[in-house]
Amino acid sequence: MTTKLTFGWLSLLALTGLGWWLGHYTEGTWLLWTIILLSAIKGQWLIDHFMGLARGPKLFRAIVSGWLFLVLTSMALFL
Amino acid sequence: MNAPERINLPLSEAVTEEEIPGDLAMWFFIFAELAVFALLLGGMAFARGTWPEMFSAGVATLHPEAGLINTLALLTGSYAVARGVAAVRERRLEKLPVWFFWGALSGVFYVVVKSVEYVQLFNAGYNLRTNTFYFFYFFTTFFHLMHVVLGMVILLVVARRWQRQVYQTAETRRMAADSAASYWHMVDLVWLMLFPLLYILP
Repeated sequence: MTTKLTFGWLSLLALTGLGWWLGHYTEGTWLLWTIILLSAIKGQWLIDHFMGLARGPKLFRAIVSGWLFLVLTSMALFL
Repeated sequence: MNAPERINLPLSEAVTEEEIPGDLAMWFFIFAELAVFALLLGGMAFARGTWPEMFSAGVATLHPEAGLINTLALLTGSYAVARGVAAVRERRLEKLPVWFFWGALSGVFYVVVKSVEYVQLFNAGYNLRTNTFYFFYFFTTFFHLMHVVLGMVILLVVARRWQRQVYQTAETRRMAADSAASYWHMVDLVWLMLFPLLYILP
């Protein structure tokens, strides 16, 4: 479990750095979708493994994941 | 410091499938907070789409490195808190206060960096009334900052009570650790959505 958490944490840091670098040193219409995808991956990993909802009640996981989907969809729609 | 007694339960009893990670009341509180932040984040995305030039100009006045550093700090804090909860599940109870302390310390780091950002913006003449971008920026990030502070307080209170052996049963220990951790992770999750809106997307 500890190894999984450590690997996940390092991956989250790497994805954060990657997203930041893409946002500041690249451009294109694909950028918005890439950033949203990276945010979705990071958010869902945090929900599943840091919050522990992967092994928690399915309803709770659905609510929090639904929140994530709602927020990211609003970004995709309005930006 | 006396370490709390070890829980003599098989792991299958310490962690059961589909168990709520923490107190149900804390989760209702978390859901309510997420609903408020959904409105703020959706409103910010809508405003950004409506006034793209104003938001681009506003984003350009922020410090992108500060946003990156704060995101790395909060993720590291979440990792520390998750390690604390994992230590409890592995019945290394004495480790939880240490990990929760590191989680709270990441919050202190976040608060310091955010405060420096605020001071620099205020000194440059920006405030809530400057325009819609700064209203959303100050209002939403300060509201989030207050949640970080509350999360730090919760972590430190649970860690202190843990050290004093206030939680006498495995159930109360699990409930306290999971509730505090869930709240902290919620605060981190919200920031992960604020970060691209304010510091990444041009």
